[in-house]
Amino acid sequence: MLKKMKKCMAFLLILCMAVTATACGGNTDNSAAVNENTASSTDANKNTDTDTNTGSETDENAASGEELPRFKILFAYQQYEDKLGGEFKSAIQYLCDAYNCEAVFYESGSGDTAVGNLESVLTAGDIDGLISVGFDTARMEVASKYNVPVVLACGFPSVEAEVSGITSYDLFLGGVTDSDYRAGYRAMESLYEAGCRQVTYSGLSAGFAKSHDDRTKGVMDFLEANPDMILLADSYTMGKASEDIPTFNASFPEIEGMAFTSMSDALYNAIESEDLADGSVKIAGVDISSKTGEFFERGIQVWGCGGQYGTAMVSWAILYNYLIDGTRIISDTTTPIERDYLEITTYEEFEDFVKYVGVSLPVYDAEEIKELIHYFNPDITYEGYLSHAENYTLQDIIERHGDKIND
Amino acid sequence: MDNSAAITRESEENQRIQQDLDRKAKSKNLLNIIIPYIGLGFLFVFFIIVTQGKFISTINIENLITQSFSLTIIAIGASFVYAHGGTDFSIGATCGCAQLVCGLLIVSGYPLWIAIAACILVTILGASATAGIALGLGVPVFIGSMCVRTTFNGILQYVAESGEVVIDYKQYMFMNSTYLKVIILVVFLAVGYYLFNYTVFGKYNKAIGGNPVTAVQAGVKHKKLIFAAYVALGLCVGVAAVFTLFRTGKVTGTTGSGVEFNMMMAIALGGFPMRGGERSRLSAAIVGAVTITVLANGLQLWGLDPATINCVKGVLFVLIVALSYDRSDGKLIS
Repeated sequence: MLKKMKKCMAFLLILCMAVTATACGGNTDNSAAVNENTASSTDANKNTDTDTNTGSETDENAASGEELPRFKILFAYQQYEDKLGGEFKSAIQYLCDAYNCEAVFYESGSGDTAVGNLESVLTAGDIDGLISVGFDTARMEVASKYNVPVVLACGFPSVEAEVSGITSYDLFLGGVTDSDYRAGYRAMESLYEAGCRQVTYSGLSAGFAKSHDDRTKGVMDFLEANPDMILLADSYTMGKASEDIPTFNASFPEIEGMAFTSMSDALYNAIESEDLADGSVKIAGVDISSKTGEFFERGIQVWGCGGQYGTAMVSWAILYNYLIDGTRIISDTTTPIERDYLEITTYEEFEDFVKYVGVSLPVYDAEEIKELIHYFNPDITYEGYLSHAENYTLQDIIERHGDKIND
Repeated sequence: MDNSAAITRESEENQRIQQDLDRKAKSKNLLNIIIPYIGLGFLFVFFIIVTQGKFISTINIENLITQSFSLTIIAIGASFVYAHGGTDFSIGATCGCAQLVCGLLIVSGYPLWIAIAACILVTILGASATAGIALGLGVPVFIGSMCVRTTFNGILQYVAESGEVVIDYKQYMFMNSTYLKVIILVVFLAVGYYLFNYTVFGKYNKAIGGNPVTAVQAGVKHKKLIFAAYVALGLCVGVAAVFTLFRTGKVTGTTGSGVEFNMMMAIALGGFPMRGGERSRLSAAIVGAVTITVLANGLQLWGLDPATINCVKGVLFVLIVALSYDRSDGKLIS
């Protein structure tokens, strides 16, 4: 019995140790530990280095934080461990730091868990606004219950019932999305232009992420419009595309091109392992990773795209407009503002992408974001946002930031 | 005379040994019952402190009830299955498929009661198929459940490929009423408790878990009872599926995924013996389900970084399972 009691005490002590150790990494004022930059948000004039994707010490024109009210902005995404998640976190943190806001990040989850997670995070209190990648009517109901306005980023529901459900809430401010359909279409179009007629496609399981579903739709629509391009095989194995490559290669030695809904180093490694990196097979896909440049240089990759975090920054601006002076940029919330991806078709463009999109300064610095905020720029309108979206190209970023980023 | 004295001495010695063993077994049993409650109590107190009382605010108590509802209902049904040493990996897939059927019927204009009945029927069919494959073919039940899981997942993804099924969320908001869920929960708990502890259904399932050979020899119709236990689980999963659909408002290709693993974790956390048997307690499964919910809710409320939440969950699960897991006849899968 004594032994069992000791075991019990040990369990309680370990539990205490575990949670105490966690508490050292948590934010004791209960306003959500975000990352190591939370402390910096009290000094809004100073931008903080979070990782390689944010800026900056070079940004001397950041909005003065002292005059601006402090808002607590919640950002929801599936997971922050991947590259895109890291970019979202950095970009949003950068803007919040520049405008005297506190950034809170949480992993949204899916289904019932997503609703529960949002309930818990909003109960923690004091959230002024929410930006979400992926959303639904159930979560909009939760946000509405807590009186939190919502803007969507990098995705918008396509099912009419969902759209009408979400947009029926007054606190829904609209969405800004990437043109995933166009990305899928362009990937296939690029392979076609490169002379590929027998292709394969690796996507993500249907229903897992709307962005990937839209890319797949774009791919399939291109194939339908171009019957001389043959889809030898397609696979939707929950992100295990690197395992598709040896299977496709073994089954179809006549492959000329491969398209992927999402590129990664694992894919590039698989292509090399299968001896497909000799240029006989062309590839195209969404997202830029560290090996993308090498494959462009060797003439294997014909198309790539990225830069989605810029879309989230525009969503942030729409939310901030509402928080600071009640301005609603999007009057018809059933239609999102659509923005193209930053496309890359050559090694030189890849080099520019790395230099200007993913290094020391985000695609929009704090001063440029001011142009999208009515409080600072009373002339900004919805049409202005549309025009701003049309100008989202690599060339535009180079023109704006060319003198701010050193070689 | 000497023999008689020797026998008496031996008999007294045996009695003493037996009493000692009984005392140890009783205290071990008591500890196994108490530890999960201590863990849950500790979590409650801890989160009340770190969230400065927000954890027990009215709104969060409501959240806890709605967040734990589905898993608790499933835990009630799962208790009967785990009591006889069974398991079911198809819970998530049948839950997802059932929601799909329910959702499709609703968007097609069928009355709500038909959609709900169909939802529950699907889960009962799924659970019955699991039991039927195992009992009919004489294979381990987890093989049967994996077959059903694969089949139902395939159906779900095939239909979901063409798009999400979305219901009119606002029209059915009354199904998200906390009061309604509390009433249903109380009814299921009461009926489940009664069946598990005071009827042959519960007792014989425990007997099968304790020693299936002895149970059969004692006249227990084990195949019928095992089948009935899965039907009970299917019923509970069906009810959970109905309310999950109205809580989320839609069905996608991944709806229901992971539910079976949450259920297994709840069973382990609550100290429910995986092998089943006479030490099976309905309350253990309930405590486990509530603990999982409290942990997820509390960590989010506390405001930890997402990566830290996953680490803490993992560490605490390992700790709690290490202490509360019943090793007496330990197998996770029989």
